[in-house]
Amino acid sequence: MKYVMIDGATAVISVEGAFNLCRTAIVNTELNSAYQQGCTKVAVDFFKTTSIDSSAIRDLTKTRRRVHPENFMARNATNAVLAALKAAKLDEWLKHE
Amino acid sequence: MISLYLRPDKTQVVKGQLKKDKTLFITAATEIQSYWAALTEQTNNYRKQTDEFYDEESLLMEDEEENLALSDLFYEIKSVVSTTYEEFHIILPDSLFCMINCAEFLTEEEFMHSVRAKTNKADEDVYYSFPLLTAPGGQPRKTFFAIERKFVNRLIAAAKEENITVSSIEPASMAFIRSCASWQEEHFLLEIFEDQATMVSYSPIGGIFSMNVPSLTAKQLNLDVEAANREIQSMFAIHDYTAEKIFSSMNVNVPFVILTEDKKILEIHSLKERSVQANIFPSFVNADIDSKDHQEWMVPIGAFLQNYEIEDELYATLPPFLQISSANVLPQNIQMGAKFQQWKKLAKKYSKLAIAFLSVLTVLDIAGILYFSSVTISPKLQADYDAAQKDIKDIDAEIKTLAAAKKEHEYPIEAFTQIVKDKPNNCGFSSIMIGSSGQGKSADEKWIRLNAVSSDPLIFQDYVAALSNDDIFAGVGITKMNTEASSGFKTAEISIGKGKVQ
Repeated sequence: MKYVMIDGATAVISVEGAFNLCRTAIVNTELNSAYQQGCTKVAVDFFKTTSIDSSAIRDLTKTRRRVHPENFMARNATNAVLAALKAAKLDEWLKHE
Repeated sequence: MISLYLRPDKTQVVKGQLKKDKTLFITAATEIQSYWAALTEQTNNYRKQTDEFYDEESLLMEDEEENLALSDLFYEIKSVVSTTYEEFHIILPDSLFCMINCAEFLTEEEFMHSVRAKTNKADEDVYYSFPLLTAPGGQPRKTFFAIERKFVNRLIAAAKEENITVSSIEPASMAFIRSCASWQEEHFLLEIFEDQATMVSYSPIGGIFSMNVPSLTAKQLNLDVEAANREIQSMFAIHDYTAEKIFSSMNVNVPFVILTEDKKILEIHSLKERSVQANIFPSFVNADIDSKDHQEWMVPIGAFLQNYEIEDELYATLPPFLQISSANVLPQNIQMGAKFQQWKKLAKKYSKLAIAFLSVLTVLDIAGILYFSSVTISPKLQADYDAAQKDIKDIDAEIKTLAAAKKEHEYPIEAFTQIVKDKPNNCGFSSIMIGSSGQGKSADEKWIRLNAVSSDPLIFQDYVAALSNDDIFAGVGITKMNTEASSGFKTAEISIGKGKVQ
């Protein structure tokens, strides 16, 4: 898998560069595969992500709802990514760090 | 290449040339009157048609009513731009297509079933194309465009009447999206004409779908601004909901490209709020068009970009899961026929050029022959020439005589003086011969032959050495040596060649 790694029961999403519509589609496919392999938690690592668009934010929101907020966490959001999450009032995701 | 965008309000005509470095040069961009009615209405579409139901009287009546025939379109284009040897690409507004959608079905049968169900058209009534195939991990999705054959057939027949072969017929949306050259972003278009309005949406992960929105026509929007605002917001909401369902994932509030001639409409608040800044041509398009007008010409220019390959700059941002091809709805046999016609025209063009070149050469040749054959030489000049010819012969003979005389001089005194001077003591001559009866190099080699006499044979060697050191002699050598039986003296025959005499 290109953007999703499995770490025990956690699927770790890590997208390098722009987390945009084209990558969102691939991430969703890989996440479905991770669920089938038994993942019940999702962690998003924004360390290598330089920007995020609304389609990605929307799909991450859906993912968070699916696995329940207590099983969802995000980390390493900086600059443009942090600004986008704050603009969408979703920076609370980062409180789990 | 020539592209025609047949719109309800006008016809855009663009002429371009694709260079070897894949730069597209736009050489002409102009607008002519609309032929929309001739294309879409069931009137006489053929200017020269002469069947029994359409006599000359009827044609005259049509002329009086100023009805335009579709073949007039191609006739008029010939007066605007040179059409010889050019490929023709036609673009039609998306509202004319009976179906533009994307779905996960794969087979042609499934597609035809969908067309039948949604449009009530029989299989043989539509032409279609599948320009996009996207598979971002899951099930592949195909985008398809379907159009009633009657529109395509009318265009082909009208073009044929003017001896023009149509290479492609595409929807405006596909040409526009192609000319944006940004494949990773969504493009939402709203084409607004007086009586038609269509929303067309592209997503790299979903494909393309369209919605006809009769409530957003220019006529409707100009009726009441407040009602227009409400209607626009409502249609945008419906569109976004539909797009979300079809594409499965999309960005929020993606701005729309509004394509309209009615600038007043662009000032409507809810439309202005969501309209995108005007697009410009990609860097490889070279056109003498003001950048603020680029968006207006992107549809007809986008049609030319069908000729680009997947490795060209146009597709630099193409996601790996997306395959793009032309949305040309012409059936394969007509496309092949158009290509063949184009090759034929090009072959004809180059043959004509070759003939013209050879003709020029022939004319030059004939002109040369005629000129030189018609030149008369004056008697005085001819007499001078004859005299010169005679003089040249005399001069040549004189030169030959002088050369022979030069060869005949054997310089006996100079030779004899030096022979005696170089002669060692105790050496005498029994004979000496200076001069040769021959000519040329061999004669010079045998200039002098002498017979030397001495009691000591080594004296001969000294003599030869002394002669060799003298510049007027060359090739000095003993050719024969004997001993006289009666006296016991040695005799040597010495051969001497001519060196640097004088």
